Amino acid sequence: MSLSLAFVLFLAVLLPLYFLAPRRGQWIILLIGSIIFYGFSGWRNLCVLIALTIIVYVFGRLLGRSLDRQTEILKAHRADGSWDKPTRRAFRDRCVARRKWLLAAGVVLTLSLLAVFKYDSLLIQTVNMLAGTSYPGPKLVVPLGLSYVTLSAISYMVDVSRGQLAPEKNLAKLTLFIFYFPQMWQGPINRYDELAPQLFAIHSFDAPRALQGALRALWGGVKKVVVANTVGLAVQAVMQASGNLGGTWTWLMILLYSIQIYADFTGGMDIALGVSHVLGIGLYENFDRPFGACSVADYWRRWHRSMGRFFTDYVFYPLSVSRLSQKLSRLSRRLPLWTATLVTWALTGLWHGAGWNFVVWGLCNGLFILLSQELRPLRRRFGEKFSRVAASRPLTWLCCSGTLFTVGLFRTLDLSPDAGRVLSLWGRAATPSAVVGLFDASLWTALGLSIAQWGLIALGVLAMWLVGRATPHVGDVHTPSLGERLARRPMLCAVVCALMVVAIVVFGRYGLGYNAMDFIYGQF
Amino acid sequence: MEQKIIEILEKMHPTVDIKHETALVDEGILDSLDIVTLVTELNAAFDVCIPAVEILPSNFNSVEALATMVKRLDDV
Repeated sequence: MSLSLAFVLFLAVLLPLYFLAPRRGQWIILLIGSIIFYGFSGWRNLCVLIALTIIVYVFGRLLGRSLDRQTEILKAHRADGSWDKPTRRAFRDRCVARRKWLLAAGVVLTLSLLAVFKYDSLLIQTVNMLAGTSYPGPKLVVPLGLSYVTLSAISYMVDVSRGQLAPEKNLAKLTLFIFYFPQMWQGPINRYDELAPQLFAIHSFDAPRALQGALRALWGGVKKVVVANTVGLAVQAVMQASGNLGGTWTWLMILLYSIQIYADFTGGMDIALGVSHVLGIGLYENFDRPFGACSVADYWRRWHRSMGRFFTDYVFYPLSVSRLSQKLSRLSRRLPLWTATLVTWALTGLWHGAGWNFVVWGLCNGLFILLSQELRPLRRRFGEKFSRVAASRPLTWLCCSGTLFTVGLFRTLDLSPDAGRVLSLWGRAATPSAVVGLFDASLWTALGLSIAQWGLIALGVLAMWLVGRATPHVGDVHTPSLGERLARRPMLCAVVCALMVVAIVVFGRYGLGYNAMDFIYGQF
Repeated sequence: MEQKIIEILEKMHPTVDIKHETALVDEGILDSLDIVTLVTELNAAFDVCIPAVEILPSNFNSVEALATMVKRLDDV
C-alpha cells in the first residue's frame, strides 16, 4: 500500500475501528490492520515476514527457557551451599556459551532471509568479479521494511538472551511488534521493551494528540512529496549527465542529494511518527536536528539515531569488548577501538545497500571519526590556548558546515556502484574549473527544472530550516514541540493543515512512480 | 580502586571534574569510543572482563558506579 489515497482510506477505516473497539481488543484491531497493510505489498512478502516472526518467537522462547533454567539451578546450589564459587562460575559460563550458540543460530536464520532477498545480487556480482564468470542471477525485490524489522528482531533476541527482556509468550503480540505498519517504510528500528507496552496499552481518542499527529504527518508529506520528489528530478538529471559534468558533479550532488535525502528520510519519519502519535503510540525519534552537528561523530548521534543505537549496542560494543579484541589490546590499547569501529562501519554500509560502494562509504565515515578522535588532544590544546576563538560563533558555523560537507561528500558514494569512479570525481572536484562550473547558469537550466520549481525547493529548504530550528532537542521535556504549540490554537492549526494539504495536492509530485517504495531509505 | 578509575578517566578528559561527576554518559562526556577505551583500560587494570551486556549508562555514569560494576563482576 503506497503513500497514496489508498493509505488515507486505510487510515480512515482503521482509526475509527481502533478507537471504537472494546478496550482490550484494540491491539487485535491494530494487528489485523497491520497484516492487511503489509498484505498489500504481496503474498510473498507476507510469507517472508511471517517466517521471520516464527523464527524470532521460537528462539526467544528457547533463549528465555535457557536463562530461567540457569537462574533456578544457581539459586538452588547457592542456597544449599553444594557448589562452591568456581563451580558456580563454570556452570554459568557453560550456560552462557550454550546461549551464545542458540542466539547465533537465531541471528543467522533471521539474517539469512535478508541475505536471500537483499544480498543475492551482491554475492553473484562478487563471484563473477573474482571468478571472471557472468552468471546473471535472480534479482529479488527486498520485502517492504525487511531491513528494519530484521534489526528489531535481532535486538529482541539479544535482549532476551542477556536477560534484559522476558520472552513474549503470545505469538500474536510478537507478530504485532514485527508487523506494526508505521515502521514499515523506513523504520525507526524499534526495541520491544519500548514499543510493546505502548502497543498493548489502552488508548482513548485524544483530539489535541490526534491534531499534533496529523500536523506532523502532513508536514512529512510536504517534505516528501513536494520537496524531495521535486529535487529528486534534478538529482536524476545530474546522474544522467554525470559523464559531462566532471568534478562539478560532486559539488552538485553534495548540495542536491543532501537536500533530497533529508527531505525524503525525515519526511517519511514524520509521517510514520505522526500516524503512530494519532494512535497514541510514540515511536523512537530518529533525528535530533542533524544539521546542527559540529563533527561527523556528532552527526551520526543525530541522524538515523535508531540505526546508530542498534549498531553501537549490538555490534560495536560486543565486538570491542570481545575476548579477541581484548587480546588485541595487548599489542596496542587503541587496537580494539579501531578494529571494532571499522568493522561496525563496514557492516553499517553493507546494511545500507548491497554494494561494495556502501562498504567504502561506511569505512570513510569510520575512518574520519577515528582520526577525529585521535586528534582530540590537539583540539583540546587549541581550545586551551585560543579559548575565545574556539568558542566563537564563526568557528562553530565553520565546524557545522564542514561536517555537512563531509557527510554530503561521503554520501555521493551511495549514488553509483562504481566507488572508484566516484572517488576519482572527488579528486576532480578540487579543481578550479569544477567550482567555476557551478556558477554557469546554463548548467542549472539544463537540469530540467523551471524557475518556479527551483523557487519551490528554496522555499522548502527555508521552511525545513525554520521548523528544524523551532523543534526542541530530543529529551528536552521543558520546551513544547511546534506541534504542541500549534495544537493549543485549533483554528490556526486547521489553517496550517489545510495549507499543507493544498501544498501536497498542488505542488506535490505523486502518482505513478511515486509510492512508498520510492523512499530512499525504504530501499536500504 | 576508585583512585585508579579516576586516573584513567582524567587521562581521557583532563578538564572534567571526574571525582564529582555523576552523569558521565547522560551528559555526553563519555561517548561510545570513550567507553570502549575505558573498558579496555579497566580490564587491563583490574583483570576483569567487562561484557557488552554491562555497558549501560547506569554503570558508567560515575566513578562510584564503575567501581561497583568492577567489584560485582569479580563475584558470581
